[in-house]
Order: sequence, then C-alpha cells, then structure tokens
Amino acid sequence: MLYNNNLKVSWALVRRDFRFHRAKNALLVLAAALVTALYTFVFLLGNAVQSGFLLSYQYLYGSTSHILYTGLTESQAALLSQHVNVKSAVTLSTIGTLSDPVLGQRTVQLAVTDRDYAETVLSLPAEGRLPEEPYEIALDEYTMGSLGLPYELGTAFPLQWTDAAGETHTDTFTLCGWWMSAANFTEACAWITADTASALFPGYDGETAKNVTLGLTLHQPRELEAQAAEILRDQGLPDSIPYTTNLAYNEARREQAVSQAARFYAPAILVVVCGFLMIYGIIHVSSDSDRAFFAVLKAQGMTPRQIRRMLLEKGCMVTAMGLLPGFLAGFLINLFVTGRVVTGTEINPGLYFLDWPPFLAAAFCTLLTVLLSYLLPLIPLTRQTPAETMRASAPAKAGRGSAGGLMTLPRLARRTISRGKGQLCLSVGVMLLAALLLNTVWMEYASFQEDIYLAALSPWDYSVTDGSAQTSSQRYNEASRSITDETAETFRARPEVTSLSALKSREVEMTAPETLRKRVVDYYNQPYDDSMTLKESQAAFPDWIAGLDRLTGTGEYTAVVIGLEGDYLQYILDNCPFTSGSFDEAAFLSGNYILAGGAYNEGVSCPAAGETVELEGQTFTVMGSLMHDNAYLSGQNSREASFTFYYILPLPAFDVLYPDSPVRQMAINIDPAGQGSFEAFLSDFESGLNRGIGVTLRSDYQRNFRDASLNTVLVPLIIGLVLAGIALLGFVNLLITRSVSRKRAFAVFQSLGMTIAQLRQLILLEGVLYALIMAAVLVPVSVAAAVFVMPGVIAELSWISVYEFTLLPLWVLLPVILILSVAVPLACLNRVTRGTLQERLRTAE
Amino acid sequence: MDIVTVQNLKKTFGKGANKVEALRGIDLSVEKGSFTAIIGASGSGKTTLLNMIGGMDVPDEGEVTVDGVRLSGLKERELAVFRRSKVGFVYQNFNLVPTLTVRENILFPLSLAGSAPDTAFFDEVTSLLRLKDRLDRYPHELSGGGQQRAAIARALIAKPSILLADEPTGSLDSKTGQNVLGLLKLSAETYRQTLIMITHNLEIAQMAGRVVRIEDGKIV
Repeated sequence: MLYNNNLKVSWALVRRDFRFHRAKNALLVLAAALVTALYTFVFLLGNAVQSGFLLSYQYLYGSTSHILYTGLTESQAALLSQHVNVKSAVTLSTIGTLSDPVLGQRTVQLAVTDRDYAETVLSLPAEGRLPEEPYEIALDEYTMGSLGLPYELGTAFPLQWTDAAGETHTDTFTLCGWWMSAANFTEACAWITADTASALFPGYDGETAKNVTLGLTLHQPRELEAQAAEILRDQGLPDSIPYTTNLAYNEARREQAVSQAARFYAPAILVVVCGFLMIYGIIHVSSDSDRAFFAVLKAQGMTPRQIRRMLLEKGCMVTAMGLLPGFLAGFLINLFVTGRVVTGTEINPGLYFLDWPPFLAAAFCTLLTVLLSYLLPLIPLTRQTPAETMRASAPAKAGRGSAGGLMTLPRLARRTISRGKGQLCLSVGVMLLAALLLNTVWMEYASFQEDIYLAALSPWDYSVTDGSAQTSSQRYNEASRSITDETAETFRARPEVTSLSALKSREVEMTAPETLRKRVVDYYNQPYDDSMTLKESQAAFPDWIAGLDRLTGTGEYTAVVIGLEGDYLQYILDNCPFTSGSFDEAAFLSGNYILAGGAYNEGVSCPAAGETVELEGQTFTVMGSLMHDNAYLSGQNSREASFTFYYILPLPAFDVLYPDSPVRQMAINIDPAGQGSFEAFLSDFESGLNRGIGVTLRSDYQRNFRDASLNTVLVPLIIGLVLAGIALLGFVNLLITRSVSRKRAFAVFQSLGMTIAQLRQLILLEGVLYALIMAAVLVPVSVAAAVFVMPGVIAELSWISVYEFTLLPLWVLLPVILILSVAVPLACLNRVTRGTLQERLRTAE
Repeated sequence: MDIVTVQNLKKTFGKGANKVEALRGIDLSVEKGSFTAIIGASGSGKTTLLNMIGGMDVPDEGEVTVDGVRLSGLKERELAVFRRSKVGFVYQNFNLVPTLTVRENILFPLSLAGSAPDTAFFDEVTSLLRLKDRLDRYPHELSGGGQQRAAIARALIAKPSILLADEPTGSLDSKTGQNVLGLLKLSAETYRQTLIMITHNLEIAQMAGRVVRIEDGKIV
C-alpha cells in the first residue's frame, strides 16, 4: 500500500500551476499586492497617528527624557546617572525663573547653558547662538513676544527674575539667539553662561545647592513612575525628591494614543472582508475547472491533506509575490496621505514614523486573507468523494430550452450568461460593495460645507495679533508695540481691504461701589446646582477665586477696558446676550456710553444698564450689561484680571482715555479677488517686521477646512478606490475566463457554420448583457442607499455636513464596466479563434 | 477467488422530483484476474457502480469489498490511499493532469505517496504502451490515443490489483480504440490484474470473460 503522504508533490503542482496559468495567477498576485498595499497603508498610517500623538505628548512634556528629577544637588544627579537602568543623562542647572508678570501662565527657567540638555528639550537657537559672553541670553520666540522684544541680536533689555530663594531681581541681558518653540509648550528655558549664573546667584553650583534638574533616558521606557521611584531607592536617595515622567511613556497616555489611532486602524477590518471577497471572487471564477482538476487529483489518490497543502502553498506563493510591490505601493500611498493627516514633524511623517511592524502586520494579514480565500472553498471539497466533486463540476442546467428549438444570437448570449450564475453574482456583489463604499465616502465628502465652517470659525477673513498675544497661554503685554496705529493705517490703505477693525485693551485697577460689590457677591453665591454655588464651581481657577475674594473683601478689582470698532463690535452684539439694557448705536458711538461685560451666565454680574463707571476721571453711563464671550480676544489677560469686568467702548473714546496705546489685534476683511496679493503683502510685512506678530489667514481656515474634509474621507476613499480596482480586476478575470474556457465551444459554433462576425456579435451581446446586469443591481441599490440611508449618516457626520444627493463614483464606474464588458471578451476572441478548427476541437482547455 | 464483492448496493441522487435511483440493490462478485465487461444503457448506473468499486463514491446502502478491504467506514485519507494503491482507473476523457508531463502524469500516484518508481517496470510499461518518445510532452501535445495510453500507464504504474475502465475507447476512433483495448487487456494479463470495464460496444464486451448487464440500477 502506498501509505505515505508525500507533501513535495503539492509544491511541484503549485509551481507547474504558476507556469501554466500565468494570466490568472498574475491577476491574483496583483490582487494580493493591492490588498497588501491597503494593509500596509492602513497600518503605517495608524502607526504614524499613534506615534504622532506620543510625540505631541512629548512636546507637551517639553523634553525627550523619560524622567526629569528636579531640586537635586550635583552629587545626587551624578549618583542617579550611574543607575544600571539609565542609558544616558543630561543635567540642567537653574538659578531661578523669569518672573515678569507679562509671561502669563508660562514658566521660563533661567538656566546655565547645556547643549545636550537643550537638545532634549528642543531648545537650541535657530537664529544666533547659545550664550558665550557674560550676560548674554538666548530665549524662545514666545517669551520674546511676551516681553515685546525685537528680533535683533544684541538687543539689551531688563529682565525680572526670581531666584531659588524666592528673591526677585532685575538685570539687563543681551539677546544672543532665539528659537521657535512648539505652541503647546508651557515651559521654556532662558539660557545664560555659567559665569553669568555665578555672578547673578553666587554659589548656585555649590555642593549643597539643590538646583540641578536631571533628565534620564532609560534602556526600557516602561512603567516610568515605578522606575523613577526604584532608581531613587536603589541609589539611597530620599523618595521626597520631586520627579516627573514623560507623558509619552505614560501607560494611560499610550492607551489614549492607541485609542485615538484606532479609527485609522479600523479600515483594516474592511480590507479583510473586501479583500477576501475580491480574491475569492477571482479564484472562484474558474471554480468549475478547478473542481474538475481536484476531482482528477482525488481520483488518483491525493489526500485532503495534500490538497490542503497544495492550496496553502499556492496562497503563500501568491502572497509572497504580491508582498514587495504591495509594500511599495502602500508605502507610497502612506507618504502621500500621512503628511496630510499627521503634522508636527520637520520631514514627511510618513518617513519620520516609518517602522517595520506595520509591514509585518500587513504581510501577516495579507497571508491570512489570501489563505482564507483559498481554503474556505476547500471545506466542502474535502468532504466530497471524487465522484461527487466531478458531479459538482458538471455544467448546471441553464433553464428550459426555447419552445421552437431555434436559437438566436441574443438567446444564445442570454443562455451563456445564465450559466455560472454563482460567479456572476459574486462579481456583481463585490462590485456593489465597492460602489457603495465609494458612493458613501463621496457623499460624505460632498456634504461638508465650507460656508458653514468659515462663518463659524472665521468671522472675519484675517486676524493680526500682537506678538505677546499669539497663543492662549501668553499674557498680552500692553507695552508691546508689534502693531501700532500706523500699522493699522498701512493695512487699511491696502486696495484689497474692505474693512479693518482694531481692538485695544488696557487693564485698570478700580474700586466697585457697594451696590455693585454686593450684587456681584450675591450673584456668585447663588446655587450652581444642588451641591455648590456659582463661586464654588470655579474652584479649579484659583486666580479667579482670588480676584472675587479681593472684590468681596475690599471692593477692588482689575477691570479690562476694551476699545473696539466694526466687526469686533458686531461680534459682541451677535454673540453676547444683554442681561440689562439694549444697544443704541448712535448713543454708543457718542463716546458717553459703555457696555459692561460680566460672566457668561444668566443674570447681571457686573454694572447694570443706567449705572455709571468712572474711567480716568471721565464718567460713562452703562448702556447695557452683557453675558460676555471673550473668545474674540487674543492671548490672556493678567492673572489679576482673571476675575474682571469688561468695559467696552468705541475705539476713539478709548484713544482719548489711553492715548498712544498699541493695537492688541485687528480683524480684516478683503475683496476675495485680492486674496493672493494681500497674503503676499502680509507675508512680506511679517518677515520685514523685527518683532513677533500673530497672523491668522482666511486661506488657513480654507486650507484647514479642505484638509480636514479630505482627511476625514481620505482613508476610506483610498480603500474604496483600491477595492473598486480589485473588483474590476475580478470582473475582467470573469470575462477572460468565460471567453477562454469556451475555446472548444467557439470551434463547435464555427464548425456548424457560425461566421467570425456572428461570433463577435455574440460576444458583444454577452458583454452588453453583463454591463446591463451590473447596472440593474448597482443603480437601484446605490440610489436606495443614497436616498434612504445616507441622510441619517450625513446628519450624524458633522455639524458642517448638509445632505446632498450625488452618485458620482457610480456614474464613473458604469461606463468603465461597459467598456470592459465589451472590450475584454472581444480581445480574447481574437486569441481563442487562432488555429484550425480541427486543432481547436481536439485541444483540451 | 473473488477480488471484488458487492452486496445490496444502493445509491440515489437528487431529491424530490429530481430524485434518481442510480443503483437499486446490486450484488456482484468478480473473480481475481478476470476481465468483466459492464454494459447497459446510458443512465443505467454503470459508472456509479464502477465509482463505488473504485472508492470514488460512497453508497447509501450496501457493502463493497475490494482485495480484502471493506470500503465502507474508510476515512477520506484511507480511501485516497486505497485508490492510489489498489485501483487503476482509466476514464473516457483520460483525466490527465494538464500541467504535468506524460512522465509526471504516469508517476503521479507514486509521487503522491512519495514512493520511488520501479524504473524497470516504468520502462516496461511505457515501452508496452509506446510512450517512450512522448514522455516529456504535455497531454495536450498528444493525440487522443496517446493521451489514453498515458492514462493506462498511469493506472498501471502502482501495480494495482484491479483496473477499472470507464468506456476507455469512447473518445477514440475505432482503430485507436482497438489498439488501446488490446493494450489494456495485454497489461491486465501481463500483470495478472483484474479488469472491469464499462462499454457500450458489444463487440468489445464479447472480448471479456464475463459480461454484466445493468438496467435501471439492477443487474439483469
């Protein structure tokens, strides 16, 4: 008995199959390559998004070090650096922090230059250099903006700082360099030389001085909190030494990054399902001849294991051949797409975050998809005897014959199509899936409305802000002069500008009359809910609480006086409901009235309509009190003005009260036709100005909108396009197989007297019928989905989405299907009708 | 001595209105080394019976024993081993593997078992069947007679105890058919094999030692 199960024979059959069925296998390899490309792209993108989040956490932390210990002595820092877990260490010696109130919420350490440390906190000067001479200082641009410093090397300026002992000093420094820090950094360093540090704070480097910050990079950046404590314990140092761990390596943050990236990994499920259907569809097209082939093999004594092995090897071969081109295509798509989705890296994030695990995952998933496609149809086959398999591969009955027995070409075409319904249904189903996916993605994209987005996010075309108020963490510096009245006039004189509105502000110390004080105290003592008062609900804002307590105790408060015009005034009237009084434009513009802004909450929480407020000795009548929404203000007010009343008056009246005040911000509208020239002017203006300035362009918002719209649908769009490509490939395969497998049938037709022209006509009719069947399924289902399902999907999609009926992908797909249906069989016909009739009748397919 | 014993063999295909009773309780014994011809009209159950004897199909009822092996209860793998070892099948439409050369096709049952071919026997069989100069050709490069000779060689190569032939001359012209039949008979005699052949041709059937007629799934 021939008991052995020789598995090598399977490999021989596979190799021979690849040599004999090149077209079909090439198609399968192409499909596997496309599936690999999709997986590679999805995994690379997901990985980039995940890594991008981790990088942003690192930025937020402000350092690339894994652990930062602070308040160390030199010897303690050296001891910790020697721990076995430590890969590398950097140290920072600080003598204090900059304490000018204009720095707002940012913490800027006055520290001794250390290039290594500067690298880990991304704080090396891009302009100028690190300090080398006494009293030279290097700063980041946000600090410079807050201090109102010009972008000029060698500028000398006084700087207030507080030493480790809590004593405040003011010294004069010379600017020697600066760099642009990330917008979300809330900490920064101001670099000085060691000599300067010694002169400013003698003994800062003494053995007992606890002013060293140590940044450690570990071999294994896991469980940083535990490692930080372990390192202190192992080195015999007290666990009271303060430390922080890098947010990017925090377990919760890592999980958060994974969950953020999950929606980018999710399309992989779609690829599994669709990729399987597509590849299965291609394989299934020749299922009849494959079954006959398996029946022969089984009849010769091939065991199920040998057949399984053969199909496994076939799947592996198809996968292996598709991997490299798939990797390449996926990587190229990744390069194109990832740069649009992930930002914040100097080079293309597709390259920056390039890593090998996504390729490995893509290879594994492709193999799984291909093997599923090969092996699933095998399950019923292994249960069948060879005779059953042969019976299953016999042609199915194609309905009843014609009554008269006479056959016409259209009838013959119909008869041909009705055979092999399974393959056709699969092909139609797969095409439908691709069409539905593309239609859905396209309708989502078309639903995003730029007008709604711009109206909500960009009330005016351009914002130009003072350098000290570029970000929400900066405190606006009233002494800064990035934007002057002359600047405003220059802008106003531009031919493209249709309106320009300026806004100025000034913080003023004031004392509230008793009626106001009592009203406000009562207001904030009213219940917020069952458990707390309105004041208690603000417990997370200690500066605000301190301001209210000051008012409660002394009646004193810091008011913010705002002078504005045009669009800013309109913004307030549109977005800040009146809690008392009403607006009278003529009276307001007279300069005798002000608007008073209180909390954005029901009820009067500031001076009420009809009351008076005295500013710089001039008495103003309150025209009305507002629920003040300060979203239109750039930058922060001082900490003292965390709790405040806003007094809003026309700009000319403000200028009378506070002459020579700089402009805090400007809102500009332009003629859209002049957008290009105006933005070129803005760019020149910004680069020519030797101070920081914040410019927000309308085109930025437009770009943001277009990028965000495209990014929302980009991943499914690309997947849909590739899947449509695979569906078309499968359809082409069906057409080719249907033509080539009828070589003998065509010979029979011709032997019975059918002309080549009739044969061509038959093929043409079949092609048109295929296209009609596709259209008959695709059009009604797509329309039904667009009419009945998509409105709900669009409504849930986004606040800027408006349902719009469009089936553009379907209208593009249908002509392609028609052309393929006709062209592919005709091209095949030329091939299968080569040779004499006798040869073709004798030749096995 | 009987090499094939068939008892009360029944097989039904389809359901409801399409139900066809292919075999309705067949009893048959075939003596070792004999040549049995099975004749009958199309659809009478000849091929179904041959498939049952060759372990290519399973009966609904009844028992088939071939060379001491009871086929009922054999697992798929055991049936595969049985087919490659005990039975040589020759089909009307040859059923050669199109992607393998003639040599590879002939040796295929041995390849499946990973067995080394008996070179002398291979030479003998291919000489007998006049395939020596066609061994490296592919099936589609041979004539119909050439393909059937290759199929016979494949059926013989594992030295099976029984040869099953389902209208082996059906696709061939009469002269080629006669040649193939002669070779099949010669092979069976040479290697002392039992030959069971389905045929429509009464002239061919008369060459057999025994003729079994099947009508409507029963031996008559």
